[in-house]
Amino acid sequence: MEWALSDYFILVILAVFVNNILLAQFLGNCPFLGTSKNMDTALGMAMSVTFVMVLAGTISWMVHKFLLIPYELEYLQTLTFILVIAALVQLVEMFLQKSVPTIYRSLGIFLPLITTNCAVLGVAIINIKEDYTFLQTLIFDFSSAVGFGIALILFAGLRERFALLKIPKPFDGTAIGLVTAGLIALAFYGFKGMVG
Amino acid sequence: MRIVQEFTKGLWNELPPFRLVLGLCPVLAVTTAAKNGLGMGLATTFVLICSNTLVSMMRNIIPSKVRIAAFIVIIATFVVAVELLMQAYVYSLYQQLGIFIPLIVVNCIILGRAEAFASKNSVMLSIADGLGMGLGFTASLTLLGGIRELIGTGQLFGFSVMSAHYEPFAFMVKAPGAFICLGILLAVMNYISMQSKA
Amino acid sequence: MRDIIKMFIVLTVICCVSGVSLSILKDKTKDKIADQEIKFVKEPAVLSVLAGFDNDPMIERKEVEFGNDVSKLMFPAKKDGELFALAMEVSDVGYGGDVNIMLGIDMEGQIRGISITKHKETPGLGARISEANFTKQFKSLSVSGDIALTSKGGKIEAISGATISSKAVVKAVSDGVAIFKDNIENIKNVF
Repeated sequence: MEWALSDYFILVILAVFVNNILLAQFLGNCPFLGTSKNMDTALGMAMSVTFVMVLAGTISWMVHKFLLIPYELEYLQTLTFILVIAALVQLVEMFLQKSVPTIYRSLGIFLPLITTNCAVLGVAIINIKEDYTFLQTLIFDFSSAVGFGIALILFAGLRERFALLKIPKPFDGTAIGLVTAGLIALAFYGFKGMVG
Repeated sequence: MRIVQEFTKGLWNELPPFRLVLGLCPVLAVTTAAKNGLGMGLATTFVLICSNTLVSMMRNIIPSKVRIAAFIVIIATFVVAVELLMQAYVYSLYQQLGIFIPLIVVNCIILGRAEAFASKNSVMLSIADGLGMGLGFTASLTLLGGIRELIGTGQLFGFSVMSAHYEPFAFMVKAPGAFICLGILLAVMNYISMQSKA
Repeated sequence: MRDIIKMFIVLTVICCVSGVSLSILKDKTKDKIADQEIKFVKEPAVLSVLAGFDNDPMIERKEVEFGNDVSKLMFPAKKDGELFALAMEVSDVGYGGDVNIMLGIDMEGQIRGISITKHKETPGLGARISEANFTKQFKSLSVSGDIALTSKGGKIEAISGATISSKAVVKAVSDGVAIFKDNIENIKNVF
C-alpha cells in the first residue's frame, strides 16, 4: 500500500490533465457553461469550487470511513454525501458572511450553486470508489479542483472574445460554447499520451 | 386542458436539455450509446416524477426556509431507491452508468422542477410536468446517444446498421465528440425554431 | 420560535421516513443484488478458470467453512454429478491495494487456471499481472514449491519492475492451494 512520491505525482497529473474533471469526466458542466462568460466570474467560481471540493471531499471521506462503514450503511452514501455538501456550503456561507465579508461579497453568489455542482459530489464518490487513503483523497480533490479551475479559466478567456466575433445566429450562446469546449477537450485529450 | 399543456411543454417548448440548458453532465457523459442514453433518461424520469409528486403533496407543510434541504432529502431518497433497484434488476446498465446514477441527485433539472414547478402547483399538474420533462430528457439523451453510436461505431442499440465498408468515426464516442455533437444539435434546434417563427 | 420547531420537526420526519423506507427496500433487494453481482462480476472469472463441467457452478455455489469462523465462497464444477474441480476467490495485498484472484483447482490439487478479478496496480507495470502471459504460468502447477517466483526456486517468472505485484499473486494462489489441500475432505462433504 505504500505510495512512492512519483505515484502521488502521477495522481496529480492524472487528475489535473488526463482525467480532467470537466473535459474528460463531464462533471460540473452547468457552472462551466453558466459562469464562464467573463473572467471575473470564472475566477470566483474556480476559487469557491476549490474551497468546497477539498473540504467536502475530505469530510465525506471521514463520514464514510467512521460512520457508514461501521454501521454497514454504505448504500446510503449518496444521501449522506449530498447532505454533507449542502450543510457544508450553508456553513461556509454563514461563516464568510460574518467574518470575512470581503470574500463573501465576491464569492457569495456562487456558493448556493455549488450544492448542485456535480463535480463536488462526483469527486466525493470517486474518493470512495477508488479506495483512496486520506492523504490521497486530499491530493486528488485539490488537483481535481485545480483541473476544474484551469479548464474554466481557459474557457472564459476564449468566450470573452466571442463578443467581438460574428457568430452564425443558430450557434449563438450555448451552442458555440459547447463546440469550443469540445475543442479544448480535444487539446486536453493529448495529455492521455503522457501517462500510459 | 392545463394538464396536457404542462405535459407537452417538456417535449418541445421547454425541452431539456436543449431549451433549458440544465443537467448537462449526464447528457454528455452517458450518451456514448443509445441504450445508455435511454437507461439514464428513464432513471432520471422516474426520480423526477416521484420527487415532483412528493414535493407537490408536501408543499404546504414544508417551511420555506428549509425547503431546499427538504427537496434534496426527498430527491436523494429516490435516487438511492433507483440505485438499489438498478443493481437488483439491470446490473449491466448499472455498471455502465456507474457514478452517474448517484449524480442524478445533483441533476439541476430535478431540483429545478421541484423548486420552480412542483412547490407551487397541484399534484396532478406536477406529475404531468415531471412526465413531460422526463420524457423530453429521455428522448434527447436517446437521440444524442443514437447519433454518437451510429457515427462513432456504426451501430444502433448494439446492432450493426451501417454497411461493412463504413469506417467508424471513433471521435464521436470520445469525450470531445460529446461536446461538439451536442453543440451542433443545439444549433440545429435553434435553426428549426428560427425558421418556424419566421 | 414556533417556526424553528416546525422546521426541525418537518426535516426530522422527512429524514426518518426516508431512512426507514430505504432500509426496507435495501432488505428486499439484498438477495437479488448479491445474485446479480455474482452473475456479472464473478461468473466471467469462474468460467475462465473452469471448463468441461455440465452443472451450473453459479447456482451450486456454497460457503465452505474451515473452522475458526473462516469461510470461503466456492464454485463447484461437476461432470455427471461428480465433483472434479472448483473455483474460489483468493486475495493478497499488492502494490496499490488488494489483488483479487479467481483460482480454479481440480480435486488432485492441480491448478486449472487463474484470473485476476480486481487489482489497483500501476498501469503498464504491476497491472500486467492480468495478462495471459503471466497468469498462464500457474496452469497445471500443484506442488507448493513450484508456486513461487523463480528467484525463490519456483516456476513463476515475475513481471520485471513489478516484483511486489507478482509476489502478491503468487502468495494468494499458494495460500489458496494450501487451504484447498488442508480441507479437501471437508469440501467433498459439502458438495
